[in-house]
Amino acid sequence: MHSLLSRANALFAFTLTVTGVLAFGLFLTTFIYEQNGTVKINSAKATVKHLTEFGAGKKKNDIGFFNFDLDADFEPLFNWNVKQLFLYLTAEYTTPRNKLNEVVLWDKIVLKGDNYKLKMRNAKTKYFFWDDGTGLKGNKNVTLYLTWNIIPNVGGLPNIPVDGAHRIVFPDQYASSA
Amino acid sequence: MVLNKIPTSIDFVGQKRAELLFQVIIVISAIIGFIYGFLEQKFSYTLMALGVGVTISALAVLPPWPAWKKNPLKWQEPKIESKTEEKTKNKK
Repeated sequence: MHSLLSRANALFAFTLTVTGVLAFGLFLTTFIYEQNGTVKINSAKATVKHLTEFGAGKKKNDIGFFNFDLDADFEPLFNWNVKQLFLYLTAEYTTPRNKLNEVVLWDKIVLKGDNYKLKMRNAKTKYFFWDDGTGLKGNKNVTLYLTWNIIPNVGGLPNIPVDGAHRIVFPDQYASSA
Repeated sequence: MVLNKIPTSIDFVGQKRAELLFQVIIVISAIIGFIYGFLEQKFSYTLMALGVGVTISALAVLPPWPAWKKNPLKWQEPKIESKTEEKTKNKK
């Protein structure tokens, strides 16, 4: 405090402390905001094929195809402690081999200031829907659901499964090609 | 360094007051900024308000304003020691 530089140092150190307290306050306010939500998922034209999965041996596996609709509004999620959202669409199903299969088929990053209303029609999945065997043919209960991963300024990064799951029914026959 | 040639020091009472002043300014600006940022839902506004507070307190505290120099230390007058020196010399 006696010299100019020690006064500057004291000021800077105190500012840093206050900034930390403010950041902690910001983190505490996240608990008053709702982090759940609802989306509408729909799908059409589910087909299943039996193909060789390149890069995973020469075995033939089931691969599912479908187009989907997705309606969501992310505006309520963006409070002052949210930088961006990471959305991912997961297919969850049971096969005789595995009790639980989870395959991520599509994802999207929504930044702060982006268009918060999502309205997708007849969209293709971003990633292939491979099964690790023949679990997709005739599978009547493949659940499609969206999860959002909230990326805050300060705090944890929760993965929150969103209400509004959709069931896909795969046909009993492989599609003609291949 | 240039700083060594300019007297930037302030006295002890001035130090205490200056420290209290910048702490009060920064805490108040932080509280105002937090409320404003919460209402506007933008944390950057909070940090901007804090920055304004820091700038104001830097202007108030960093330069050696005369207000921080009102209570200089009173040093003892230097003793004239020429006589005592002569006495010790005589003893030898």
